[in-house]
Amino acid sequence: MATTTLRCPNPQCQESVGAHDRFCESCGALLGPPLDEEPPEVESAFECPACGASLEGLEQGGNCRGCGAWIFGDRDHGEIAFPGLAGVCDRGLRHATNDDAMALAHLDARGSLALVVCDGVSTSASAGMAARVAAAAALNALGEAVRDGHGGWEAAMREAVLAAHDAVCSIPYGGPKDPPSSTLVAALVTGRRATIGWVGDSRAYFVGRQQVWQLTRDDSWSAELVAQGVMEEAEARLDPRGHVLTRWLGEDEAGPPDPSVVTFDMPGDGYLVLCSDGLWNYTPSPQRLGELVWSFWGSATPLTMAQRLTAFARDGGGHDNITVVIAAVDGGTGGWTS
Amino acid sequence: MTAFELQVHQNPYLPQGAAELDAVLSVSARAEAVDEHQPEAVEVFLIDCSGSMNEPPEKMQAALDATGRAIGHLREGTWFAVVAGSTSARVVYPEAFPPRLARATPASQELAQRAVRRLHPAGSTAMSTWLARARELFESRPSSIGHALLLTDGRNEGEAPEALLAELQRCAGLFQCDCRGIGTDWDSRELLGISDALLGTTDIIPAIDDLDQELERIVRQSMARRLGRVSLHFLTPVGAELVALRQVSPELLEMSSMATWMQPDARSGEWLTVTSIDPGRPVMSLFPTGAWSPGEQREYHLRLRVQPQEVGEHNELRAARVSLVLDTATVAQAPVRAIWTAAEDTRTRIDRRVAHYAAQEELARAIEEGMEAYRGGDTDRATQRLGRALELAEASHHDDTKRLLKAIVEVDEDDGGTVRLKREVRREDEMMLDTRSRRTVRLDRRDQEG
Repeated sequence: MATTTLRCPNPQCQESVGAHDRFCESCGALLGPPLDEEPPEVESAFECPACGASLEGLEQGGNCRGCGAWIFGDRDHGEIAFPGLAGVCDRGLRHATNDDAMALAHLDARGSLALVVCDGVSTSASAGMAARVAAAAALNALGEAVRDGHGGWEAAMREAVLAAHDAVCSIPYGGPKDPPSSTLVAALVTGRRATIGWVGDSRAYFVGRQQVWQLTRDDSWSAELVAQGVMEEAEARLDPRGHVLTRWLGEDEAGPPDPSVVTFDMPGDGYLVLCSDGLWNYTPSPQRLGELVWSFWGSATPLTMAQRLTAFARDGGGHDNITVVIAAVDGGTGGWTS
Repeated sequence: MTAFELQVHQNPYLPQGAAELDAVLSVSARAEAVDEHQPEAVEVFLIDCSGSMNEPPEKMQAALDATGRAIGHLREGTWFAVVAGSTSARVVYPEAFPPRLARATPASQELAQRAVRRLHPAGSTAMSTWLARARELFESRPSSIGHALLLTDGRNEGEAPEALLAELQRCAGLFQCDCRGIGTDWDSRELLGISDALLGTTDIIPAIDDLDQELERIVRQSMARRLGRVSLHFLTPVGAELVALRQVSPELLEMSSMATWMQPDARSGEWLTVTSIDPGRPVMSLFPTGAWSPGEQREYHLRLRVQPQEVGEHNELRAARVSLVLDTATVAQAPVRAIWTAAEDTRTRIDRRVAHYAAQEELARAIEEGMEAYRGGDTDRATQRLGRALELAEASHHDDTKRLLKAIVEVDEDDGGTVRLKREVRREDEMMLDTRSRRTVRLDRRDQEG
């Protein structure tokens, strides 16, 4: 009987390998294709955050037929504008899929708003799905809290983040990748007050007429080292490990995430900007983002501003998915522009 | 049913061009695990009988009483001996020439207890002679599970440090040794040097009243370790290198220097032990972990250096294959993976366990450096390092270490939480911090904490 000796395909190696080996014992190279993942099946029964109507069939994006709340993800490009509130979610130039998601809505007649941006972790399984269910679940929970009207927005924000976490954890998962995971940044705006909650490195800024506030601090390896004084900001930015997340939505050995929640009273008129790192990677400082917003000031609606910021990130290279959600606040009247 | 479980915790996604990767290995022996070889246990008591043990005489009395009682806790059938150590070492039980081990029976245990009661302290301290005597006894039963308990109160001042180091090299791998220091006149670095080389622990017994309980605990733990020679083997491909291996739980223990290596012979392909590594062949690095008791859990921090591959899942590299070996049988295996991702567009999750133990290692290092500065009179650096240690202990909920640190530093809450060295530090608190700061806490799930 003839036997053939199987050889490692690595040209520098070519040692003999076993027929059932997954890796070459000599050079460690992978011998077959990576293990396939089971395509996840997810039940998508989300209710509209604003009116409670079923959002069946809308999990890839669209307006609630009841009230118009908007949830978007998965497709290459999506835009939505409400009065004083708009968002753009874009695949960018380099990624094959859009694993970002956004959800936004006017929650009541008094002008309460909810904005959510999620960024699926690209090395985790079903990353895009994770971002979409997280964004929808968070908006859902925030809408419910405002409808109940019991106040306590920081507690409501924490609950919304945990609801998003539970939604991500419910995605069926198996295989060699990390379990489905996503970042989240959400804002609940009531009057002049913005309650911001986040997990991961998607950000919120408030851009006033003369000043910019970064309202979030990234849950990332580099941000922690900077906070500890081990590294300078500029040095951390260049470190390839900068993007390693220290907190996320999704299964984690440390248990559910402990979200950061802050309350910010917006001084004067300006723009509340939520974005994924697909944008802020191209604005090395809050000041740079401010300069961009200032250059559009007065001549742009929230939608055109979100479009221009997205275009700016694409012009810069568009390495990642880009999501920008903007609410305008008008200090002149003390309310929200429409 | 396998006797052991092995799990690799890591973030396999590396930024483009990265060559180092970290993983934490969690190893646990099942509660119902048995070693089919049923290895015999050998226990040797190394009791300091130098002159200082008699100052005050109650110390010697308490040490002898506690040793006597510890002998009573030996499992029947255990091979054992009692060695009295000073400038030289003498096997006081069993009395035989050449020295040999006795089998534990109610009668032999009583005879040993009587022999211990007759001991009188005299002379100086040369611990290499104690270890050498123990080694000869362990060598007479090479396939058994060997454990020594070294009890002392002083420094190893009766010989050159090199003599001790040379003997430790001869003993390594043959038996494990736990060291206990009575009072505060012994040198923690000296005893840690012994227990580190022999896969054991060192601790202070501040009060002689605690002797009984501590010796009983050690003997019971030693008797529980019925799972023989367990070792970790790492197969690394050509181009990869094992940089460091450290036990990180339950205690920190640097193991990097304990490796022996095997490589396939260039001609026959047969795996042979080598003393220097040929970089053109895969390497198997073997680390002893000593004996285990059923239900025991330990964790190890592994650092590898690999040759960066092209970006993409299809270029996944098995950076190492980890095998857990009981005697000569592989009982568990797992891969350490590496996948490179484009630097600018990939975000990955930190591995919780790797991050947790990196912080625990930093905590221990901050304490070591802080205490070194403290003893050297560098107050600023001591304050800075111990302050950082306190921060890390808080963050990981390491209450024991926090308590030990607070015996050395105080936090002024009125002054915005400024850390200051205490004016008066008790010597025993200092030594407790030296020896016990290597204990780590395990990673807890937040929702289980409640």
